[in-house]
Formats: sequence, C-alpha cells, structure tokens
Amino acid sequence: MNRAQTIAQPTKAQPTIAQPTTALPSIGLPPETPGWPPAPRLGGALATLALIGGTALLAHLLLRVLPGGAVAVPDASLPLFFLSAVLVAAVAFGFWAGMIAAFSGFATLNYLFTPPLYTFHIAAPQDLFTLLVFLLVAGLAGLLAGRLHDRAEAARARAEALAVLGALSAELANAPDAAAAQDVALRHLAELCKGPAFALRLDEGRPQLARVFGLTQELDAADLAGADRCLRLGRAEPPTAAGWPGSRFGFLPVLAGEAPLALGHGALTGPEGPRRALAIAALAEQLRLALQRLEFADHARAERLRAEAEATRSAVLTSISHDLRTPLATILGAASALRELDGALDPAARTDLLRAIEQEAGRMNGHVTNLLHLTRLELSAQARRDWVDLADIAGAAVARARRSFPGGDLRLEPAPEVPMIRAEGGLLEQAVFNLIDNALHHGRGPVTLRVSAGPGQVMLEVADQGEGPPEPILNWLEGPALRPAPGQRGLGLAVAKAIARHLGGSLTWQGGAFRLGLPQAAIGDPTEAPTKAPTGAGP
Amino acid sequence: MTRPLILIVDDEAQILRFLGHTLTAAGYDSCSATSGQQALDLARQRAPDLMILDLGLPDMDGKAVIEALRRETDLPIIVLSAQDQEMEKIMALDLGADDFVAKPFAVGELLARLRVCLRPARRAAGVAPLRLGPLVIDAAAHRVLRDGAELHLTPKEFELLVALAEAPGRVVTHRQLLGRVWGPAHVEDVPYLRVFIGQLRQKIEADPANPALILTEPGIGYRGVAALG
Repeated sequence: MNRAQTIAQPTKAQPTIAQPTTALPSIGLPPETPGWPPAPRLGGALATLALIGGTALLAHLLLRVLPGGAVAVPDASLPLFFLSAVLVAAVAFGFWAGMIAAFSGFATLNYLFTPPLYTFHIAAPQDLFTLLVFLLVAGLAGLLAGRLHDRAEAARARAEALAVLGALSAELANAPDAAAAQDVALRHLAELCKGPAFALRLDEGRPQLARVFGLTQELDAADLAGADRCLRLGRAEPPTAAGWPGSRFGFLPVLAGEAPLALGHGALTGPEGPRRALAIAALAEQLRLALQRLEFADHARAERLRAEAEATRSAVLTSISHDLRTPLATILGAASALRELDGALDPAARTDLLRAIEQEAGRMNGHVTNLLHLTRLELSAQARRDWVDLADIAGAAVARARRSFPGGDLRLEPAPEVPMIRAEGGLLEQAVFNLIDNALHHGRGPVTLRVSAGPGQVMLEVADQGEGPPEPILNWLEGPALRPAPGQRGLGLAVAKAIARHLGGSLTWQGGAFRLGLPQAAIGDPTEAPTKAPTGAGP
Repeated sequence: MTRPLILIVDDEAQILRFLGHTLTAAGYDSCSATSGQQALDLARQRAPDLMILDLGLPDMDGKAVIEALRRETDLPIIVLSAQDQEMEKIMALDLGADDFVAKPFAVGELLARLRVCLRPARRAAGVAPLRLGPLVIDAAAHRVLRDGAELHLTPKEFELLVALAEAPGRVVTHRQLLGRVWGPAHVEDVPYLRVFIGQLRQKIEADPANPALILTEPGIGYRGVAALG
C-alpha cells in the first residue's frame, strides 16, 4: 500500500480515535425517554382487568356475604381495596395498565358498591375525588415503575457490555499474536452487535478481508466503499439505514501495527443501539492497544535476540582469535628467536624451536580448516551426498589422527557390516577427526571408536574415560546454535555438530561417549541407484 | 656474574617453550608458571628480577596478579596481551605493570622491553641530570638544554617531559600522565594531553611531524625514547 498514506493517517485519525475514549464513561447511561411511556401489552391489560375483577369479588365477599363475621370490614375502606389493586397494576404492568386499573376500578366500585347500587350514576360529587386519587396514584406509580424498569434494563445492558469488554481485555492480554488478538476482538464484536464481525486491511490499494467471524454473505461494492473510506480517512463509518443504498455494515478504524485495520460489524438495532456503539468503539480502542502492545513485545523480542546473537558472535570471535593467535605467537616468536639469537642458541634449543614452529603451523592449519568448514556450512544449505561407509570414514579419521597426534592412545573397534549412508565423505571425516581430537585433548585414557547400526540410522561413538564435557557444552550440544558456546575453546565440536546437522544427523553425549548418528534412509535423490543396498546388512 | 631471573607466566605450553629457549640464549635464567596462583607463589619464593605475564590465565585475571604483587613488591612486570585487548592493557598498566608487548611478537621487541625494565631506575641512582635523547633536563632548575642551548617550556610541558624522561623507553599511560601533571580530577582529559604533547614536540623534536623523542602508543599513552647504551 501507499507508504505516505500509512504515515499520514495516524495524525489525521487521532481525534476520531480519541473520541470514543472520552465518551467511554457515558456507556450504559439510560437514553432520554421523550414522549409517552410505551403502550401496555395485551397481556398486561387483561391481567389488570382480572385483578380489578378479583378485587371486586374479594370486596363483595368480605362486605356483603360475610357481614359482621370474623372480620368486620367497614364500607369506608372499600376504595382502599381498589386503590391497592391500581397500585399493583401500575407497578407490575406500567403506566397505561395503571390508568386502565384506575378507570375500571373506579367504575366497578361505583357500580357495585356505591349507592345507587348497580348504576354508573355518581350521586355524590366527592366520589369523583376518589377517581381523581385513583388516577393520580396509578399515574405516579406507573411512571415510577416504568422508570425503574428502564433503569434496570439499562443496568443489565451496561453490565452485559462491561462483561464483554472485561472478557475482551482479559483475552486480549493473553493473546499471543496479532491474529489471535483480532480473532478475540471479532468474537466479542459479533457478540456486541449481534451480527457478523470481520476485519479488513488495504491490500494493493483495495480493502481485503483479513479475518472473519460469522460473516455469511459476500461484501458488495457499497460495503467495500464504506470500508475503504474508513481505512483511508481513519474514521468510523456507520452503517446505512435499512432501505437506503450504502454499506450494510459499520466500520471502525484500528490504527496499530504496520497497516491500519477496519473492523466491520453488523448494523445495530433496537433501543440499545447507541450504547452498543459506544461499547464497540471501546472494543476497537482496546484492540488497538493490544495490537500496539504485541508490536512492542515483538520489537523487544527481536531486540533481545539480536543482542544475544551479538554476544554469541563476539564470544565466538574471541575464541577464534585466541585459537589462531596462540599458534601464531609461537611461530613468530620461535622464528624470530632463531633469526635474532642464532649464535647464542644451542643445537638442541634450535631443533626444539623448529619443531615448535612445525607443530604450531599444523595446529593452525587445523583451526583454519575448521573455520572454513564452519563458514561453508553456515553459508550453504546444500550438502553433496555420495554413498559412503561410516566404518571407512572412521578408519580414515583414525589414521589421520594417529599422524597428527602420535602419542594418543586411539583404538578403533572392528566394525560390523553397517548400511551405507548418503553423506559428504570429507565433511564426515572432519567431524570424526574433531571428535577424536576433542577426546584426546579434553578426555582421559584410551579413546575408543565404535561403529554400529541402530533403527533407521548408523552411529559412531567416540568414547574416552574422562568425565565428559562440562554443563554449558552439554546444553549447547542440545540447543540449536551451531556456533560454539561462550567459553568453549576451539571450533572442533562446533564443526562436528554443524556437520552432523548438515547431513541430517545428530551429535549427542551419551554414556561417556560422543555419538554421531546419521540417518540410514538418505534424503538423497531416489532416482540415483545405490551401489550397495541402503537397508539391511549384507550377507 | 649472576644472570637475571625472569619469571614467565603463560598457560600456553608452546609459548613457555620458545620463551624459555629465547631467554636462555639471551643471557637470562627463567622459570615459568601456568596459573596466577603459581605465579604469585614463585614470585615470593624465587624473587625474580622481572615477570612476563600473560593477561589471560585460567584461574585468575592477570590484572589481579598485578594488583596482588604491587602490594608487596615493585618487581618489574611486562604484560603480554592480544592486540584487541586494549582496555585490558591500559588497566594492567594503570595497575602498575611496567610495559606491555602485544601478541604475537618478535623476540627482539620483547628483549628490548626487558632490557629497559631491568635497567635500574635513574632517579634512585642519584644526582645525574635526566636525559631524553639529546635533551638534558635539570629538574631542580626547571631548565632543558639541547646541545647546550636552553629550550623554553611552560611548566606543564616541563612536567610532561620530566614524567616521560624518568621512565625512558617505557610506556606511560594517558591516565598516569594526566594524573601527575594535571591532577586526579583530569585523568580522563586525553584531548588536553594531545594538545600539550603536540606543543612539546614542536619545541623539542627535530622534525615534529615524525617524532623521535616522544613516541605515541595509540590509545594507550606515550613512550619517551630509550636512553642509548
């Protein structure tokens, strides 16, 4: 996408983003209720009439059927019966139910109990006052009850929104990456808008769906135009009202990460709409913060890895420079001594200096060879693979080690017939030689080489009688790093490990021996015919 | 006549080997240690005339060996160090090592440093005026003569010259010079020192662009030219 746009957008979009944040505290406040309270449902009206009827029956029983009985109820308390019914109806079913109760209650009272009986004629004007009281009580109680009901409804909606946002922030905090965070946000967004939720970002200048939750229909051109405006202008795009041309979905910008994201959601319906819109804005803001946090965490992780790699590289450099410089110091020192002190040196000393030069030059050659191997293995992923016999390789390495370290006690156990493997012979020999070198110089007692075949692999073990490598080297051996561990002198083991990995095998320390395991079934080219069966021992 | 005894401290057997032959042929006796502790023990038992110390030892930091020794003796110490260990080198010198030789080195260089360090300190010898190449320095009278003609130096330049002439042939670190001439508050002000050394060279060197009397050890300090003979 256009780079300049990406950069320009955050500043432009800042006020838009800030707006929901400042509006947050008002989430869940009841909307203004202008006009009349909502009309009662039919059920409420019928129940109100039934209530009045029941009251009339009760009053009739108490006053007319059981006069002078256990409970003597005076006539004067009659209106109180109906007043109670009116109150109950208004509280239970709302303002209009209360009104119905007031009228019907008054009519019943007038018809059944107020003289002249069984007519709606109002004899005494003060009875009208009773009707007035009924209406007043019913109206007040109905309005109060309605408001209480609204409050409760609002509180429930607010609690629901807060629960969603709370769950969202908890889940966002645990999201391991940006994709997971977006999925979490979309799931909650779908819950808030009771419809589909999806995320888009600009791809080659056009909004493309990045992640989706519960979206069943295709986005049409109008929807995409809404998303495009949201992404380009960095501002919220509300859905178009039903029946009008335009986007069916609302879009909110989330400006975090390398490219802005537009959160699409289904249109909000019902009286809770405005409140849900606020909750959705809060959700978008939370997602932005979460994405930003993840981005920072990524940066920090990358930075830490870089620092670690840097430390390792510097440790390796120190180790290599020590390896190369020590023999060089001897060579230069001994050669200059031979030249400058020529006459003063006795013959034995002269011979010893010459031998020192020769030995150190050989040692240096070994270091340089290893260094070149390691560099090559790090640079190239391709191994040349020929059919080789591990026992032959071991024999060659032992012969070379005997030439290089004449004093070393080195034994090669007679090898059983092992399957041939696909490997680069020269590399493998170097790995074995390095293991022998390591055992002779850091181990103890006779060094024994053993070649064997295991399930699916051939193995070579180089055992000595020492205690084995120290803890940091064992840890390094198990880890993925090819370069030597800090404090590890020499490149020999590192090269052996790199070669083992390069050939698809492994280098481990087991039971007092370094074990080089190489896969029997080579990864090699299947069309190339083996010169010797790669599986099973020959006759 | 007894031959001076040199203690070589290095954990590399091959280095000990050629240094042993070299010192024997050059007219010194030598003994060797492969660890810091062994070096301290030998320095106490054998009372060598000089110690050649590799800074990278297996058991302890070479600098710790210098610190420990300096509490007991002013045995001359020549430090062996790799070229890239500049900081180590400077710290070793500031701790009291007398000079350094960077590895790898030709034995001629080492033997030259050895001779300079083994020469008895001139101050201790007494009244003879300080010399630096053709310069004769009368510290008491604050006068410097070159071929009989007096050179006019500022007090700071004079002090710098004396500091270098007192240790002819040996490196003196930036910190040591700054501390001595400007005081301990200024030991980090290397740019000062550069300016004053430049002025001093203008006055004393025959060719200030190719100094022969005050030599630069880049990043470490300066070295007054070794006395002849």
